[in-house]
Amino acid sequence: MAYIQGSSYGIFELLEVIKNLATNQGWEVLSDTTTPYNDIPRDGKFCSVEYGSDAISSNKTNSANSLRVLMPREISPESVSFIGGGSVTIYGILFDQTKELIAENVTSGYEFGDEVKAKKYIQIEANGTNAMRDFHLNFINKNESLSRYLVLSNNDDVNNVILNLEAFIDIHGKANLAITTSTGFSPNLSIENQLHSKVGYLLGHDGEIDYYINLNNQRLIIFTRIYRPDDSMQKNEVWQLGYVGRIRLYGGEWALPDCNAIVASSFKSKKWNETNKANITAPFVYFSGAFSQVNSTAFDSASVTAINANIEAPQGGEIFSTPIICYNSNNIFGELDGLYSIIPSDGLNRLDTITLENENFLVVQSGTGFNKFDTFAMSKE
Amino acid sequence: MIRYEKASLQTRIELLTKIESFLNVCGWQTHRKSNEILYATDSLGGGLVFNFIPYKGDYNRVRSSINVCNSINNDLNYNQQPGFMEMSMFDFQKNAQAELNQVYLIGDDKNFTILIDNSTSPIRYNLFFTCGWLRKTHDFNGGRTAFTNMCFNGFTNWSGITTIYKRQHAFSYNTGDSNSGKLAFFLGDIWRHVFNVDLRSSKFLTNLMPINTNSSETTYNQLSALSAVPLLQICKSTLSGLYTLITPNFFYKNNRNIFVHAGDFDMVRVLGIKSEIKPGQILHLGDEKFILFNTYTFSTSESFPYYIVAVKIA
Repeated sequence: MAYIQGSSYGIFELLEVIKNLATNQGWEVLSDTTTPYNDIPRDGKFCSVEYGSDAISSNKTNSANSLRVLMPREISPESVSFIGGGSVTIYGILFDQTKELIAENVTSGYEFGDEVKAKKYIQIEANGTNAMRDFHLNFINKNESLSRYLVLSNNDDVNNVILNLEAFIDIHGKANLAITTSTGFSPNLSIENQLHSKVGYLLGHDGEIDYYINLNNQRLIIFTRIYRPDDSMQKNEVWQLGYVGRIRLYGGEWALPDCNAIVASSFKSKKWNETNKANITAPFVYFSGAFSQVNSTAFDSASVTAINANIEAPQGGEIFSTPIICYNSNNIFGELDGLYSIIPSDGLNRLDTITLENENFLVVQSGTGFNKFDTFAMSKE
Repeated sequence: MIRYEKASLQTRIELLTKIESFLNVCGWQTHRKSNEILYATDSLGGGLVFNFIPYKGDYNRVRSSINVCNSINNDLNYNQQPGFMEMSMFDFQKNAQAELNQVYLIGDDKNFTILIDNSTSPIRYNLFFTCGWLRKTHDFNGGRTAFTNMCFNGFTNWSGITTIYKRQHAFSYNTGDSNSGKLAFFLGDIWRHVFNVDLRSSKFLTNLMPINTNSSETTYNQLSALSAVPLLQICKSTLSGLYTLITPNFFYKNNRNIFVHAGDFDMVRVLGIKSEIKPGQILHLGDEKFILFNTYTFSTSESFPYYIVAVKIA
């Protein structure tokens, strides 16, 4: 079955769920690499470096005298190593920027005392008497992941779809999933640099993420729900949508090879509570060698209201639904597969199952709060 | 089963006889009221009335017509039929021996389309008329539609006949300054039309009506978000080379003042063309066949795209 739903704890568990669903469907794993979170990430990736990024550069000839870096999650330091530097003094920075001395005038290979090993810091400052190169702060906990980059191929020679998914943690508590298609895969490139990619994000957190996924051998649809009434900024349910993969072409396959679309709730790696609605009315579609933003017939409460869609279900009939057709001023490409805009009747809620033309669909939405013009029907078949 | 016939005929009486036998073969009940008047009833009881009189010329209110009605009463006069609504209004050619040229007839037991091809005659026009039943999404009283490209324009002090502009497409509404033909819909026992009406009070809309969200205008379209006109205007996709064909979909207003989806009229498609096509051209779509007809007036002044219709023949 192409449809599953459930709840994952954190973004890495969600990626594992997608991987298992895909391999069960016959998708092939082209690559699956995990970068552990056991050291300050090289080049300050997923960190915020105030100064001194040369000290942690992947180019080991770069150097800096001082380093101050905010990391994605708190860590307990075990030991430190570096080249050059002279003698180095290290501070752990507290929430109010107070510097706690954790190592004074030390050399490479220094192991922290038990007192320090029991502490947790998210921000670190290191000052060397000389320039430091290849600075590493080894964490006690070596089991956490910084990122996991998974690449899947649908194994279809005629219509090859390559899905790229990267789960990662980032500063400010971010735990996001980058998604895109690509028309090739190179192990030396990052997800943004893969051939013909356009990266969208599903914004997560370290807590519970409810997921509703439909995967077939052409495309992935994923809705997520995060509900954090304890959050100071967003107490509504936050619903996000990712559609990545082929659209259902309306003919003209010869003219539209690799016709992938991407719809996502964000195209920047933001926090889950900073999300807007997905770009369902303006999907990115791949044609003529690049992704371009096009129009769609999807409904969105920003532009569709009772003023221009004064319609309801007829007596004893089905609710109104429409395919999400992707087009621009010169072309009609096709429609998204397995996802329809609907105008639900009063009383119809998210997560209800409805039938449209003898097929089962799940009622889901994009955005926060509940607006009937932001609801969709996602195939459960 | 859809029947399709093309014929070259000289007089309007011949044409009426031809229509009569065609409809009979399709499964309609017919009654030849007179030499010039034919009544026909489809398999669901819908009525059709033909009145073919000789050429009249300008300033005449009564001319040849094709009309719809709720049902047929053989004893009544043609324009006294229950629920009578005049649809097509036109003149045959002046020459009594060459009143028309070619005609196309398409139909089955509940749908009928006629195109009178006068593209090479002295008075140049194509008369297009279609009527039939929707594939309904649910049970309701009504669901028959009729459309024509030539009808009475409201002015008896001029020629009286309006024909569709090239830039206008079928199954939309007609306003005073934009000739789009006459579209009618049978709902709740009454034939209703959208020719020069305030669309805000119309009890039906289609997906081929243009977008207008200004509620203070008479062409305010309460279903603008569902309008297929932006897709229709694409005409032919430049990458795939495929034409865009739109099936007319109808919506009616229920007694809560909200529209519901009535169904679609599967016999016809509306499309735009970016270069001249030959009317009568056959289009294959999968295992279905359509014939292309011009619905517009013959004038050279407007620029592409033009809008035409495709009628299903198989």
